[in-house]
Amino acid sequence: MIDSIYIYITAFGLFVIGLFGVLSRKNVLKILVSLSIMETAANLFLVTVGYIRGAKPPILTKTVSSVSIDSLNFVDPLPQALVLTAIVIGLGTTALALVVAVRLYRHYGTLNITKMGRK
Amino acid sequence: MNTNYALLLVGIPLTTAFLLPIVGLAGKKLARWIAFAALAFNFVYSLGLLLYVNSAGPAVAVIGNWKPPFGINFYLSPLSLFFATTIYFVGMIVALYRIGAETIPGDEKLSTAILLTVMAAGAVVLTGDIFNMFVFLEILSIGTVILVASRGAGISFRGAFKYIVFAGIGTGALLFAIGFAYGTLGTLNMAEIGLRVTEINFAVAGFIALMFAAGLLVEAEIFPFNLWLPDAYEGSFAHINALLSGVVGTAGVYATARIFLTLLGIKVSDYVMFYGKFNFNNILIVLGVLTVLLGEIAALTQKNIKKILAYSSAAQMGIVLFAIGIGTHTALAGGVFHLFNHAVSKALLFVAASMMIHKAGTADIDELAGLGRKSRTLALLFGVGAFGVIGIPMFNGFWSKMYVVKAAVERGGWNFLAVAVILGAALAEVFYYFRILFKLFNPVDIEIKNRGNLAGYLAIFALAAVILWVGINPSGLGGIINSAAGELFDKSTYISTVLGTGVLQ
Repeated sequence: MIDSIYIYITAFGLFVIGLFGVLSRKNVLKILVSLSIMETAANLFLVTVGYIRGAKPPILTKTVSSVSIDSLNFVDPLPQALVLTAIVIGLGTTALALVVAVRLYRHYGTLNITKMGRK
Repeated sequence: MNTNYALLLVGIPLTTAFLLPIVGLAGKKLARWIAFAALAFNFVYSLGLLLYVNSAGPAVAVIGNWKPPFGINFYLSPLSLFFATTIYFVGMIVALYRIGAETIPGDEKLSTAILLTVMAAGAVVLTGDIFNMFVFLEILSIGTVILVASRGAGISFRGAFKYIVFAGIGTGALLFAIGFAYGTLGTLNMAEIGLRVTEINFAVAGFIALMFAAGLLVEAEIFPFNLWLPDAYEGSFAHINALLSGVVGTAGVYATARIFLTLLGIKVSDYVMFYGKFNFNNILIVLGVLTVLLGEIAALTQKNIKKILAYSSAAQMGIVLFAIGIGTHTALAGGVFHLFNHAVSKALLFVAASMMIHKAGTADIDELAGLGRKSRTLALLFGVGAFGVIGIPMFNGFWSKMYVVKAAVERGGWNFLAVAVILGAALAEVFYYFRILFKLFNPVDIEIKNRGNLAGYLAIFALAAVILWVGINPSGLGGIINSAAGELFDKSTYISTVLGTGVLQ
């Protein structure tokens, strides 16, 4: 049982680490890793929004005819669906970015962004 | 009329896009014709819907019978359909130009990327759900990366990589904004957030506004989020640039206006009560004016025709953002009108520039000198587009810039400074566009390396006809622009229409 405030702090910490990486690294692959860290931070934050301390996963284990939502004590399932979507999209963009990184390397012979000349 | 068929505007291009690699086996030209047909369908259908909602009032397309605010809905109003139609029109024109242009390796896959980008931009404009908007923005940026990289030069991949970095940071920020909005209000529906925005406390609302700005202004080409712009524009084909400014930029600015005015917008009279004296829209005014200044100064220094047009495009987006920031009815009408004018004029300029580059084999304006004497029609039509952007009377940009300046003067205060910036920007535009035109008509001999194509001329003529028609008869669009600005100015119709079809009525 972790209080959600610590997860929020972790998410913001990860986001700032990722941003620092994007701004300070010179290697294309390291920049992409930092971008992935930022996306992970955002996903962690989103899933924490739906977190309720001590609640159960939102799965009905037996058929119920009429029951109030509150008595079931579920966490909010919607952010989890959002995060699944965001993870899949993140995979797609990362794959595309890696393709661009491969083409950059073939063209310039280096992955260091400061050593890529004009043209 | 069953408005749920509006989902075809997403379905048709998406299906066609992924059929094209198969069609491409049969013939590369055939794939281009099919891409054009899909976008032409979208344009005609959304134009029909626009005329319908303009007379019958806004409608909502409910997806999967999950009524708002629980499901995803598309909002069909004069505002959203006006921009969807503009986006599909620019996409259709570029597809038309490509029918006649030379094929490149992997040509049908470029058509796939074009269809994806145009589809996603249209859906960003039509959707009524912030997470759905995020998903389509991601598809939009994936499509943009493919479009930019498709020329295959080193600079193309550099431009694509810069765009990936900016859009990647923007994505993270956007997800945080969505998370905060959902965490505080428990809904993703734009109308419900708009209705209950005053329940959010000031600090959280400010954070949401900033995070949304960081995410959306990347696509909208606003400083300081537009640093990907020079390399991306120089790296891609000139006619693809028409999509970058006319489709991606338009969708970005529209989304910004939607978030800042419909989601977070509060009546000016209520501001002091809820938020103290700070108005979020001042962020947009400052960023807009900065973009105009830096864009025009940068455009003056460039020699590459694609880069000149790129910086000019960013500057026009700055003017629109400034108008959105002022937020009065006149200003919003001017902003909406200018966004449309910019999309059409810039599409003409880029398509004409693409043909000039194809003819002369270079993008440097010094080496293009004398081209206007060899192909007079092309250079004159380029002039029509340039006059439209500058805002010379009797051309479309004049009316929209006049609206924006009028609104800024009415608002008064330090907005007068911004008026000076916009008028100074027009002066800078006169300088660099006339420099290109004078160069084109220089008495220098130039060798024509390739011939133009009929489909390309048709595309340019269609755009020039729109520019001249709007310039001579601006009241022809007046009704639609007025109701579009009214929707941004007063969000109550939006909220009651969307939630009225739902379960909470």
